[in-house]
Amino acid sequence: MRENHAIRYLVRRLALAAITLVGISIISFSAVNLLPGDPVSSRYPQAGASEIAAMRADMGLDRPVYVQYVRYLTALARGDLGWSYNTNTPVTEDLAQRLPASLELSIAGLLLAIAMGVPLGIVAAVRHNRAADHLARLFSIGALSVPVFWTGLVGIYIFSYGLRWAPAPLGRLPLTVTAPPQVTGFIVIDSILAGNGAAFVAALQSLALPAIALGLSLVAPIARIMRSAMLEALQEDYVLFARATGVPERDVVLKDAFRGALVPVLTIVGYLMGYLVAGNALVETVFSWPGIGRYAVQAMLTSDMAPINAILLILAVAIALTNLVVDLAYAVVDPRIRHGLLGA
Amino acid sequence: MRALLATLARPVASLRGGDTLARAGLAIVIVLLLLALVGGFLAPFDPLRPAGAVLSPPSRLNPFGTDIFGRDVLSRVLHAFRLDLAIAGSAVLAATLIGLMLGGGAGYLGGRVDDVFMRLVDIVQSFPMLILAMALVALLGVGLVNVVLATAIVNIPVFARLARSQILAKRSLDYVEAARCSGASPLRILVVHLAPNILGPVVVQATLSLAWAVLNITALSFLGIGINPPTPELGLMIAEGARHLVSGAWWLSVFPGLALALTVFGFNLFGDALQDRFDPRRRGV
Amino acid sequence: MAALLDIDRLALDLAGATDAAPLVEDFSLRLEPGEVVGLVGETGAGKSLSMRAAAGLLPAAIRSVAGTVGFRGTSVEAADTKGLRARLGHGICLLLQNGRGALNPFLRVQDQVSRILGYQGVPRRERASRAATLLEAVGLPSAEFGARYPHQLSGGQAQRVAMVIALATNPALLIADEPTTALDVTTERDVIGLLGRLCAERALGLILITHNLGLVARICRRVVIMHAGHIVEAGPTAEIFAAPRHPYTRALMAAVPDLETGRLPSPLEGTVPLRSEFGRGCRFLARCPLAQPRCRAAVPALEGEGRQVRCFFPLTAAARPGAALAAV
Repeated sequence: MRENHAIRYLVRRLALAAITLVGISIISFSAVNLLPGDPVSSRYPQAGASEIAAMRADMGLDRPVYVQYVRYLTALARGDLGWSYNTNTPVTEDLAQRLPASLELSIAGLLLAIAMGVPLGIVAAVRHNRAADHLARLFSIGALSVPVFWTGLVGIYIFSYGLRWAPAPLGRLPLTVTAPPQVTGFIVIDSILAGNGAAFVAALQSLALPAIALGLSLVAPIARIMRSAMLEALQEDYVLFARATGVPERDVVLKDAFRGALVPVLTIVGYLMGYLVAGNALVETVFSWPGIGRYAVQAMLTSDMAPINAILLILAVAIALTNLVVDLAYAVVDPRIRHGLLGA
Repeated sequence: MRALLATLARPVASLRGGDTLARAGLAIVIVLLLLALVGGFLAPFDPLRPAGAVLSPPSRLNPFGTDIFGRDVLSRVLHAFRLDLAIAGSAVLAATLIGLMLGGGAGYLGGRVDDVFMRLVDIVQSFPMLILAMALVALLGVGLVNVVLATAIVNIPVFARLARSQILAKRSLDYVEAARCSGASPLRILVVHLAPNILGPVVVQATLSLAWAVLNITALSFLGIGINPPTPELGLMIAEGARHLVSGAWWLSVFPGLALALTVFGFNLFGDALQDRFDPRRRGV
Repeated sequence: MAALLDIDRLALDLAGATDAAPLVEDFSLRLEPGEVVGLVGETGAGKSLSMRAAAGLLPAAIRSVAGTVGFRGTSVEAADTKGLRARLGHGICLLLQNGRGALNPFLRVQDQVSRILGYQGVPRRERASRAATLLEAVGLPSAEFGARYPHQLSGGQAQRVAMVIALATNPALLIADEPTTALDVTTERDVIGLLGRLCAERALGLILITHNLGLVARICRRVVIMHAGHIVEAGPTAEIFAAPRHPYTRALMAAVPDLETGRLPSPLEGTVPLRSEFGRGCRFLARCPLAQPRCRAAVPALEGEGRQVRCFFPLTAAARPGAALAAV
C-alpha cells in the first residue's frame, strides 16, 4: 500500500518531468530551426544560391518541419548533440572535455558557500532580531547584490596583481606547471593521486579565487533559507519540549531544529543549481577557466547554435533530475513523507 | 484608487517604526531614483567625448578618473546607471503586467487552461534566468531592445505564478463570491476586487526583480551579449576596465562596479524589508 | 523543609512595552513536594505564560519584569532565563498540550527516550532496557511502539510517550500544560488517570494547567484560579468548589453543567479583557455583577492564609453551584 503510493508518486513525477523535457526539446529545436536567420547562409555569406540549396538539402533543412524534429530527436537519442562551428568538434566531445573543470569549480564554490551560508543562517536565526541577525542579513543581502564578475575582478586586482598571493587568472594551472595525468579530471585530486605536490599547490592556488567569488555569490540564498527554516523550526513544539526536558541548547539547535530545517532547505537546491550555473558562466569568463560556462558564453557570442541548444537541453535535464532527486531526498530526511504522505 | 494607495502606503508607513535596515534601504532607493532622474544633468562631462588625459587616475577634475579614450568615468557612470535602471525598470514593468494578466487569467479560469499554462511556466522556469536571457539575446541579436525583451520574458513566470497563487487563494473568498452572485463580469471582479489585494506581494516581487534585472542586464553586457559600445553601460564599463586592470587602472571597473553594487543593494534591502511586512508568516516571528 | 517550588510575585509583560500594564502581575505560587495543584482559568488568563515563565521558556515576545522563582531551596530571578532553564531536565519538566507535536518527528519512540536517558547520564547499554521499562509503565509495550515514529501514534499514545520522556528526566516537579485538551473524552480520562497515578507513585509535584474543572476535582488537592493575569482565588479544591468566594470562580463553576440537579449551565458573561483594557482597578470589573465604585479605583490584594481571594467584597454563604462537581 505504502510502496504503491511511493511508486505512483514517482511515476507521476517522472511523467511530469518527461512532459517538461519534450516541451524543452521542442522549444530548443524551434529556436534553432524556425527563427529568422538561416544557419547556412549566415555561416557562408559568400556562397551562391545553388550552393546554399545543396548544403540545405545535405543538412536536411529542405524537409518538412516535423521530419526535421524527428531527426533531431533520433540524433539526440544517439547522444549526438550536433557540431560546433567554433571548435570544429562534435559538441558532445567539447562538453566532455570541459565538464571536469566546471565541476571542480562548482563543487569548490558550493562547498565554500555551504560552509559560510549554513552557519550564518543558523546564527541569524538563533540570535533573531539582535545585532548578529542584522549583520548576517546585511552581509547576505550585500553578497547577493555585488555582481560576481566584479567580485572576481577586484579579487584578481588585489590578490593576483597587488599582493601576488594568487596566480594570474589564466585557468586551472599556471603555464609553468605540468598537469598531472588525468584520472578523475579534477586537477586537485589527480595531482594527489600522482603524488605531485607542486601541481597540487598550484591547482589550489588557481582554484581559490574563482571558487571564493562563486561561493560568495551563493552564500545569500543559502543563508536566507537556512535562517527562515531555522526560525520556523525553533518555533515548533518539539523544540520547546526538547528544551523542557533539559536537552542542552546546543543540541536543541544543531540536532532538533536543524533536522527540521533541512526539509525547507532542500526545496531551494534546484533553484541554487540555476544560480550556480549562471555564476559559473561569469566566473569562468573572468578567470579564463576552461569549463562549460565559458564555452557557452563563446557559443552565444558567435551564435554557434548547436552548443547553445545542447547546453540549454542538458541544463533543463539536469535541473529536472535535481528536482526529482530533491523530492526523493525529502523522504529520506522526513519519515512523515517516507510513510505514504507522499501523494497527499 | 484610495484602496490601492492605502495598500501601498501601509507597509511603507510601518517602516518608520524602528527597522533601521529597512529605512536605510528606502533611503538608498529614493536617492537612486532621484539620481536616475537628474543624474544626467549632474554629470560634469559628455559621456561620449574625451574630457582629459587618457587613463588618468582619479583627480579633482575627474573624481573617478578617465578611460582609454580620455572620457570622464564619473559622467559615464551617471549615464550608465540611468540607462541600466531604465532598461531594468521597463523590463520588469512589462513582465509584471504580462505576468499578472497571464497568471491571473489562468488562475481565474482554472481547469485545462491553467494546467497547460503552468506546464509552460514550468518549462521556462527550468532554465536559470541568466542563461535563458543569454540564449534569448544570442538568438534575437545583440542590442538594447532585445535586452529589454529577454529580461522581460525571463521575469514573466515569477509574476504569473504569484498572480495565480494569489487569485487561487482569494477567488473563493466571500466578498468575491458576493460580487460574482451580484452579476459582476469576470473582468470586473479581476480588476476591481482581486487586483488591489495582490498588489502588496507584487510590489515586493517587483522590487526584488528589479534588483535582479539590473544585475542580469549588466552581466549580459559584461559578457558582450547585451548593450553595444560606446553606450555608457555599467557591465560594459566593467568589462572594458577589466582589460586594463593588469596595468593598474583599477578605477575603470571599480567605480562602475561600486555604483552597480550599491544600486542592487538598495533595491534588495528595501525589497527584503517590504517582504517582511507583507508576509504574515514572517511578520509574526 | 524547603518548598518544592516557590514563585514569588512574578510579573510578565510584552517585550517591547513601555506602558506598565503587566500581562501577569503578583503571581505567587508555593508547592510542597508531591503536591498536586490545578491552575485554572479561561484562555488568555495567563496560566500557561506564568508557568512557561517559571520554567524559563517564554516566547520571545514576552518577558519577566519582576519576581523570583525558588526551586528546592535555591531562588533565581524570574528574568534569569539561563538560571531557570538549568533546572529543566534536572528536577523540573514540562508536558505540552499537543503530545504528537511535542515529539521529535524525525526520531523513533525508543530513540527519543534513550536520548533523554543519555542526557541523564544513563550508560549507553542500559538505555534500551530502561526505555522499555518506562514505556511499559505507561501501557505502551516497547516491542510494538518502540520502533514507531510520532506520526504513527494516536494522540493519547503520543501524550503517553511524552510522559515517558518527562519521567526519563527523573523530575520532582511536572508542569502539565493542558495535556489532554487535544484528546477525546475517553482518552482524556485515561491519560489524566495515568498522570495522577504516576505522580502519586513517585511523589511527583504536579501543576496541572487546565480549563476543565472536572479534571481538577479528580486529581488536584489544591486549586488556583486565574483571570486576566491575576490569581483571583486559591485554596483547597473541595472548599473552593463547595463555596467559591470570588465572583469569577462562581461564574466559572456556574458555566459547568450539573448532571445531578439537571441545572443548565449559564455561560460566562463577557470576555477576558485585553491588555489595553486593563484599568487601575479590578480586572474582573467589567464582567462582575457585584462591582462597586471601590473596585474601579484599585486592584484588590490577594488576601488570606490557606484560602486566598482577590476581592474587596468576597462572597460568603453563596449558592453552591459546584457542590456536585466537588463530589466527582
